[in-house]
Amino acid sequence: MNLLKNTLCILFGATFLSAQAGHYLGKGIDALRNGDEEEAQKYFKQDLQEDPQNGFDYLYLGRIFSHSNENSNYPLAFKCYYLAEKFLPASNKEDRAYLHFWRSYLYEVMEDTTKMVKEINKAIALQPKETDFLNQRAWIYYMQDNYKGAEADLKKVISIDKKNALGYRHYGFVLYAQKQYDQAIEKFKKTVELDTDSTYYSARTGLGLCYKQKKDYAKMAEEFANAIETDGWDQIDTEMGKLTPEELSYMHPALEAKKKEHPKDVIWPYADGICSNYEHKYIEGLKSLNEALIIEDNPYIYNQKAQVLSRLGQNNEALKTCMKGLEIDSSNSALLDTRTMILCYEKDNAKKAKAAADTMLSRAPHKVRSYTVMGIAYRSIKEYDNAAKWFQKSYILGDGENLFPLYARASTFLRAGNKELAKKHFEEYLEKDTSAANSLYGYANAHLGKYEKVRQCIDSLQAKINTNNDFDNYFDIACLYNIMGEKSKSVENLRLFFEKEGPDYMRAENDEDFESIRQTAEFKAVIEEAKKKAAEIAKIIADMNKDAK
Amino acid sequence: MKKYILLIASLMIAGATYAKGIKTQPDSYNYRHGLQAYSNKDYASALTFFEKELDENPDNGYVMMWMGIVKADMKKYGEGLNYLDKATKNIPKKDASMLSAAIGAKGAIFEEMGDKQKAIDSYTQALKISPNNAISNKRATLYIDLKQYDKAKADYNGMLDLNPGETSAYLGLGKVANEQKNYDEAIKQLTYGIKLEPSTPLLIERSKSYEAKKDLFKASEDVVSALKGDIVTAMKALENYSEEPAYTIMETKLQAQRLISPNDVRWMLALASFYSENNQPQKALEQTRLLYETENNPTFAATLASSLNNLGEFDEAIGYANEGLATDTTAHLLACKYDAEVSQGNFNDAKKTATDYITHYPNSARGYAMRASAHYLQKNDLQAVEDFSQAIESDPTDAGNYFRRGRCYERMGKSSLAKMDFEKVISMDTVPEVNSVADYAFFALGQKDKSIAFCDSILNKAGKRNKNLALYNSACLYSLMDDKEKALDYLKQSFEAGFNKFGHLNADPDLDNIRNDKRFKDLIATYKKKATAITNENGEIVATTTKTTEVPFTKEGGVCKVKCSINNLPLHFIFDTGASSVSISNTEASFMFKNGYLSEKDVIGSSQFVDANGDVSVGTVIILRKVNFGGLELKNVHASVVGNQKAPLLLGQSVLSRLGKIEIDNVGKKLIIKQTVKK
Repeated sequence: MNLLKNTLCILFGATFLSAQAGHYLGKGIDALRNGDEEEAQKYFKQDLQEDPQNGFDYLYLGRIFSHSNENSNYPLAFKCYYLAEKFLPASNKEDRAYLHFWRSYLYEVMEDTTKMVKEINKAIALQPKETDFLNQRAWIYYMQDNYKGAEADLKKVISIDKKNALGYRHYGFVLYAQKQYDQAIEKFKKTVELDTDSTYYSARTGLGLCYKQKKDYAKMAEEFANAIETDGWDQIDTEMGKLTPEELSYMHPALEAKKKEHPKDVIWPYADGICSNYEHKYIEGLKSLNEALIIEDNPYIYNQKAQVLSRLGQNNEALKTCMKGLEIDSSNSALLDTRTMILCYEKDNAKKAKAAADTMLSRAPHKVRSYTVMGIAYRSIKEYDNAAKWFQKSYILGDGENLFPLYARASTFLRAGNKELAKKHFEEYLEKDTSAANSLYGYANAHLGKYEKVRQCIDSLQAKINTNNDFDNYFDIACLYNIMGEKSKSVENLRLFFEKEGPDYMRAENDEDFESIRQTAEFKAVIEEAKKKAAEIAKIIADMNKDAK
Repeated sequence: MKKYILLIASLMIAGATYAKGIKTQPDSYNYRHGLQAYSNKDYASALTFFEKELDENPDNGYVMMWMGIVKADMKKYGEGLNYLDKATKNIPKKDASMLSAAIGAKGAIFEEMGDKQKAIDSYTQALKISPNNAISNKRATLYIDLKQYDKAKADYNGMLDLNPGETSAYLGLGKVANEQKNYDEAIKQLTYGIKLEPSTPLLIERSKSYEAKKDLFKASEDVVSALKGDIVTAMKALENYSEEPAYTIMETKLQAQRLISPNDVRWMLALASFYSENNQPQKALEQTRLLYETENNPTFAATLASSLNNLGEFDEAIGYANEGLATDTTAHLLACKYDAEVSQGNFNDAKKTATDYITHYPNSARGYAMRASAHYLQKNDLQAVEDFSQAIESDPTDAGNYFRRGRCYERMGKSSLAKMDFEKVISMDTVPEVNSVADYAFFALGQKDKSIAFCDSILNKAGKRNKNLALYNSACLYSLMDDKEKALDYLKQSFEAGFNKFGHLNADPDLDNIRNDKRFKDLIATYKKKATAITNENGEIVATTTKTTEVPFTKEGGVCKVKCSINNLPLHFIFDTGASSVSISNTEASFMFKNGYLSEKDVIGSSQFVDANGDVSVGTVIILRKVNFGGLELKNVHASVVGNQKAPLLLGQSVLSRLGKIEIDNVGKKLIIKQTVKK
């Protein structure tokens, strides 16, 4: 609505209003300024009853109907704009320009960039110095990778209005896309300087990205931390997930600084905890999450903590943590999911796992994941027919985009002893998943005896470990080797998993893919080692818990 | 002419902006009231008002236009066209939009009369005077019918030039692309329209495109989205999901929606329809029970009764039909009740129900046809002919009535009258459908080959839902032909497909040629047993046992009095074998309201159900959520509040029969209720 209010102010200076507006038209505009679209609609419609050819009424009605709220009615919006175009005075360039500008937003909803640009061009032709129009076109050009076009418009914006924060922000991204990082930094800094209300978010994220490219990780971290402050965690989370371990390590000092500056703000210890988790430094991560929980009882933080505890082989603590989170929000599907998965991996808790899955489905029936979890739970209680049915439902409800249930159904048939069906479904899976980088690709090929492809997959997973420290992949590599009968390699990779990722021994103890080596001395030895490590960690956590929730 | 009203309405709105400075429509009392009467579908009054207006203003083209429209809605097309012709000469030329509307109205009449080319010509003429998307849309639709796709596309693109937000244009472009099997183009156009407004027609059309591309995930997702809008239209699309894997995909999605919105009746309705369509009557019944429990209304009572009929649970069906009828006498309820009674062989009851239908819907042919059919099955040919003739007079387009009257004439020895009726059938019933009778008519006229060919076409066309009926009708035909082998084979197939109307079958004279055959008797015995068996969700018969509950009663003044509780309030009810509905005394009802055993939510219909003394008014219908007795429970029992009733509650056999078979042991003074339950 800011944009609308601004444009209303521009359009309706007092003299203009008195010259053009009917009695109700003015009231309608006032109502719009106050954010009351319902009231505004009534006035515009009343005005039209008196003057059915008032283009201004149609113009504003079109604007109201264009919003994506309870008033939205895009066909009617188009109709209103059509009539506005018909009835607005031809000499009134300003209003006509806004007509095209606002209609371009409708085309944005329709995802029709060609028509968007057409409308913006018309708007600019009528009002060539209107920076809103130029900024909008520049951004469309940017999305279309037309950087030259974008730059031309943005240069014009800045020349017209040297304090146009949005223009600088867009410019920064255009330059970043062209790898002109220094110039991009300059533009982003200007945005930050001008945009004191932080309306035009992600300039700080842009700065962080530029410094990352320049390998100035300290500044990168500083700016990402600033971005968390202005843009919120959700905006930055994706970027955090792409950082390498080395890059991540720079985040801690920056986040520490923010913690000191804002000791009562939960986001800082939370972000610190997430970063540690990304680095696979789970004890440090746990400390930070505990700090966060002291500040705020938040179910999402409990969920993170539970997942970390589970990785560290502390399933009982993990389950208690889940329950604490569920006491705050019993419908939190992430917590329900984590809880059910932990129970599924506990040998003696299969029935509880099933009950937990039922709870998740009843509380989050709209989540496709609930159906997958039901399948996993049924499998843990060895009801393979039911498990297969739920995996099938999950696959259908995900519209075939998530392949995990497709694989899971195939492996359930295998588990149930139905080799023919299993083969058929593994093959169906592999028709859709051709990427060796996916562990499930490896599993499916392994069960079909196509070991060459399994080795390709193992190589891909190993590469991920080497580049990104994705240590979780050691577990899958261990499973794949065992399916191929290479037991010592399997055990070695399992050992590495426990060492690098965490002593999540229950997962290994209960995973069906280790069935053939479960009773071997080597396997038992590795499990024992993990249990010892878990016991040590339990002591550390017990000390931490004295201060934490 | 409903679609026509929309055309005019849109034109009127468009025309409003052009009205300044031009001689406008009248603003007189007669004109305004004429329009009002028309919008209330009171055509006679509308005409009266318009005629008065014309008397005063004989040259007013606008009134002539409306006269033409009203005449057309009364199916008096010739008169309609005459008035519209006059209108076009008298509406001022400056009022282009109304002039165009009048010419467009002519086009709509030609369309109703089936003359597509004349309709197109009129629309073209109208558009030349004043471009209008509603008229362009109508012309484009005709172009599609005539497979003139380029012209249709031109019209739709023209509509978009006028209004880029015209969703009907995107729908049209999508349809054209689908017709031309250009499914990617169809998806593109329809997606654009859906982004503007995700309406049911757009979603259904796009689902067809996805189906053609074998993308069942996306196709089914569109149908599910459509069901959130116009459910009645969208449910028809469920017919396309009867084969695997489409069946499982759709079932999964509908069940998921049920889980997400457990109290939203649309998903119960959709699932019930889906299962019915796929000949899964047990599953359909489960949904319709939930539907009725969630929302007690006559429509859903009829849906439940219909599901029960499909499974042969005729007593229970009648019980629910009566419950619904206590609130509102709808045609559907009466029809369900009639079906159950005929299926049981209770033709006298069926005739009473048909007579009720006639009383409430005297202008409808259906009541007469129902009563006539009952007479026919009882071989009361004279009465049957009388009623069939009445049905024909009300609706001369139903071939079935001519056919059955012809059969009556045959039995009465009036062969020339019979022949006339059969010939009429053949001329009318040209498209093989499940309810067709032309195959029988051909045979009656001695044209056996044509009869068989027509019968085969019906069978080929029948979907899963109607297969059992189509097979049954084939069995009847071959029985008439005295081809016992084929007749018995088709009869067996019909049972396998779910046919269960044994009462009707027992009385159906068409099967007389095979009735004494041992194989026929064996088939009936086998399948009657199966039909009453309980099945699991996979359709497999499960082992059952009979659970018998004995409920003691006392005899007072000749009536059976049973202890019960109503919504946990201890009371007693009178068991009245003659009662078809349930009644509760206003004393009891008032007590229950005042003491919290009943609330406003339990009242059906009127909000003014409490009188000045705080007592519940006589005539109010309430829902008794729980009636418990002898360890049994009846849920959601509709009861009418009556005055001067000594008993707090009067329950009839039809309601109690929901629980199972009822017997009265007057010696032991107990009601014996036998239920068939899973072991």
